[in-house]
Amino acid sequence: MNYQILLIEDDPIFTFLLEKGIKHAELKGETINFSNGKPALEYLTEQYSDNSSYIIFLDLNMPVMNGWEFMDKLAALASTENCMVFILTSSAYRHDIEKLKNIPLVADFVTKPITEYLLKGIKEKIEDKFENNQTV
Amino acid sequence: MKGSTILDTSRLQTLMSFDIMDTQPEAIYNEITSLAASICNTPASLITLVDDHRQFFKSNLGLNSTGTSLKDSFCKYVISDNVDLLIVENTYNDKRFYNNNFVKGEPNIRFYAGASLTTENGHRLGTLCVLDYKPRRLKKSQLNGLQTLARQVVQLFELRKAKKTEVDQKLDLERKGKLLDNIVTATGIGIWERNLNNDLLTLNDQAQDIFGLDHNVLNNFKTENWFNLIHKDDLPNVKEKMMACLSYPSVGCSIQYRILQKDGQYKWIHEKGKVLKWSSDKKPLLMYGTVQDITEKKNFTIELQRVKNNQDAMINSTRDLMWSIDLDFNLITANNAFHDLVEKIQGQPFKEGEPVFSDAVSKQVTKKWKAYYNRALTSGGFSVKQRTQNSKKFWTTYGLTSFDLLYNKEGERIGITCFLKDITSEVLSQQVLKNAKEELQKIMDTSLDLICTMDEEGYFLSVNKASKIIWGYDPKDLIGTNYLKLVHEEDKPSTKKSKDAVNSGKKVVNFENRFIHKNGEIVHMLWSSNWDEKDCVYYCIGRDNNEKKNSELQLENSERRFKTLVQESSDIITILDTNGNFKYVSPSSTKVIQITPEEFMGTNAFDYVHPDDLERVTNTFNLINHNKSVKIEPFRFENKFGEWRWFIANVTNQLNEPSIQGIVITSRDIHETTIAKEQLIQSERRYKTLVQEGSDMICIIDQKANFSYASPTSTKILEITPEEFVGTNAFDYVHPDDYDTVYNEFIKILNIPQVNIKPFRFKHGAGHWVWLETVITNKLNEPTINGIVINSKDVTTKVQHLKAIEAQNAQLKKIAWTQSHIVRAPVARLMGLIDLLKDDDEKLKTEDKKRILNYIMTSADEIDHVIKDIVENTINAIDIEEIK
Repeated sequence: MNYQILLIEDDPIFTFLLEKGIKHAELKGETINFSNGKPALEYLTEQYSDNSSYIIFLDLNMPVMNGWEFMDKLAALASTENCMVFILTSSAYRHDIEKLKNIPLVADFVTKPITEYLLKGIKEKIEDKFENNQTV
Repeated sequence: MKGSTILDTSRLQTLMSFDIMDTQPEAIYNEITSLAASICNTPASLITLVDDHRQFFKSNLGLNSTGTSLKDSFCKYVISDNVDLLIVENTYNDKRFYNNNFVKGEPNIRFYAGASLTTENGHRLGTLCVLDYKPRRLKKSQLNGLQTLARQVVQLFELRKAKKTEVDQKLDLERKGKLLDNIVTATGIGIWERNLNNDLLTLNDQAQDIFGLDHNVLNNFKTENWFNLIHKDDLPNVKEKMMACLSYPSVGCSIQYRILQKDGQYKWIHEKGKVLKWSSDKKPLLMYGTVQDITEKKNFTIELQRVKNNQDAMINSTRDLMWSIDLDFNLITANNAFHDLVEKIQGQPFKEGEPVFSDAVSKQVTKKWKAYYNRALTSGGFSVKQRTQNSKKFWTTYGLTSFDLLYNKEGERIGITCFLKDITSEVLSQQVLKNAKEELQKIMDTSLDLICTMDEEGYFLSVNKASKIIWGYDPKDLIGTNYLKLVHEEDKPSTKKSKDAVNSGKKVVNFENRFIHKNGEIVHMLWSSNWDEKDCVYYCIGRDNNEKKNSELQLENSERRFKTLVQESSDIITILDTNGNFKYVSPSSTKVIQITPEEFMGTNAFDYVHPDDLERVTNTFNLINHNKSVKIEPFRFENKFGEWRWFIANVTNQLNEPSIQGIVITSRDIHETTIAKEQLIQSERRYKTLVQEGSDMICIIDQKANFSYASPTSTKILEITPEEFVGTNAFDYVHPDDYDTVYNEFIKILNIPQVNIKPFRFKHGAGHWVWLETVITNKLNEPTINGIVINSKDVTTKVQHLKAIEAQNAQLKKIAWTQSHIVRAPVARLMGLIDLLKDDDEKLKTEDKKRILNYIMTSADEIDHVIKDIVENTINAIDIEEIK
């Protein structure tokens, strides 16, 4: 199975931290960076394939296309079979995540900063879903 | 201009006429002060009203006070200096104000501009003014605005006054009208008014009926015309009393006289009058009084006398012996027949007060009579038959003697009455019998009432000639037939029942049933019946009940008392002694207060009077020692169940009337009327309060929400007049977005008594929407309302404020969210970077470490900026909201 990790984040420091974390946690797959929802959506529209598994780390507050708009569009494109979205939130402000909770594509919410410890938990979740499920 | 000084009485009267001092704040005036403050851009604005010692604030925007003394008033100068506008741009520079308490101390007024509230008749009542706490200057346009608003305030005052006067007058008229109607209906008394200036008589409907005058005659009905109608025997008395009443000072007059009716008959009327107005030279101007038809009462008195005379005649003309003796067997009284017999036996009659035993008869006879008398005294009344033989003259008589105990009015036993019926007289003397029969027949034949006797089975034994008039049958056609043949089919059961009651010893008076006339018509009959056990016959007196005039005469047949009239109505007739002890109570007491006349005997009338009324009633009652008659105003009297009932009473002094020897009280139960009257007054008072106070609108709608009433306040609140509302549907005015909510609340009222409806939008007469807060109350079962009462209040300002606060809250939330995001982001970055350094130090290349350090610097700088921004932006953001 071919894994693609999409990092959609406008802040270069968070992107850097996430890249480091992913590397150290040894998450499988090719990592691609996007500065907001728009280029990421364009990429997926073109490249989306049932043969790949997509793991998306999505920031909410971004210029051009923010996280909520991206999720609206993604729902028409991706399937929960091969796609997991982790929402990155920079605050404990709960109000903005309520409306995302019920979207099946959303796997979890992660409060910044993302530590290696958190990424290990995420890794287990990914493996549970894509690898263990398939063997069952 | 008038009213240039504060103490000008004409100015103060004008101010008082508005009735606005110390009234509650009202929305409309508060809106005007808000508008004034907003036009002039000042923090405070007042509507002030200045009386002779203080100023009252009808509206006080921005100043926490409802008034001040005259000393501290700015506004008084508008009045005393007689100016339309008073402007004090800097209070420190004005010698009138720099020492003012409100300038020197809190709230430090530095600027004042007041526009005079000038009424149409030129009086200055106070001002509409604006205040500031710093010196300033107003533009011409702002001052114009202030003066325009001041004129609006005065117009509102005028409007308020006009409305109040109108409502007051209407309510007052309604109330008077209703009360008068109630009184008139309750008492049946006519009311008249005589204007002595132009000699004009005014009568209410009742009085017109009583006088028997047509409306058109009244227009020119002079005193002379009135005198012409009065019976010539009564005229001198009427004139004399009238003259007395018209000479100053008079207490009023009361007079009974006969007045000629259109049908040529005379009617007895009782008139009471009083001079209401005197001219300055003590001439009467206006007379006022009441009139009552007392024909029936008068006729009754005459009738009673006639009956009594007839009775005396009957008692003395009978051949039967009647006598009564006291406890010592001395003669009290006897009829002629008894005296005649005694005279025959012993040569002279017994004298009253002397023993009734004669030496002329054998001792055995005397002993026998003594035994009878003693038996009556020990075991009560009884009858005995005996045969008497006069040996000298071979004269045999058969007699049936009845003995009964005789009681006085206090119920004490005072003697024995004896009645001896000579049952041999018929046998022995055909002639005597014939005479007696003829005499009786004569009496019966002249009676308009039907008098008859029946045997136990109900077969007529005798009937008088009245049967021909009342039933259409000759007496001879009836004798021997059963009475039931003539009774209306439907009344047969009740008539039989009544007959059985009579047979078991009960005296039945006023029994009503219907008989069938020979020509097939129904005749309403009123019966008094009695069962005579000795003769085994029913004595019945029937009256043609169609003739109402006679129907109120009811004769009570009693062996111990004189026949007494019983009035079966809500009036109770009572005879009291001077201490208020009952001597007699009419049977109507049982119906009216559930206490029988027997229960009253031996008790005192004042024991039944309500403690709160007792003193007044006692005082009025005692006036009877000096007056022939007095009236007791409504008082409470306790009935059998301990409930208080309202009565009025007429008290007449009859102590010198030998047949009565007491004080006669005629009482009438006016409980329902009194209670109804009280409720009426109370509900009017409540209504008045509602209409006068203010800003609420009260409407009545039916179950389908159609208006049947709207209070005058609707014009003020919605610019829709009550007339425009009536007939329209309430939901036509409700905003489409609020329709469902309001409808769902409204239908609840059909099941529960009251519903509160949260503010909803209602169409204003000018086309915009206003928010109304509403309470609806189900009064569908209340006969006087028969609808749903709506009480609405304009809460538009309140709702708008709430909406503004909600909008601001949302804005604040947004700010808070953004800021938490902005602050949190660099902090999170720093934490991430530090974690990386801590955990992965050995894995990092030098290049990475440099980069991380750089990132840390950037993030720290950012935090610094963010915090600076927060401090500034937050303040700016909130300021902006406020100004918006």
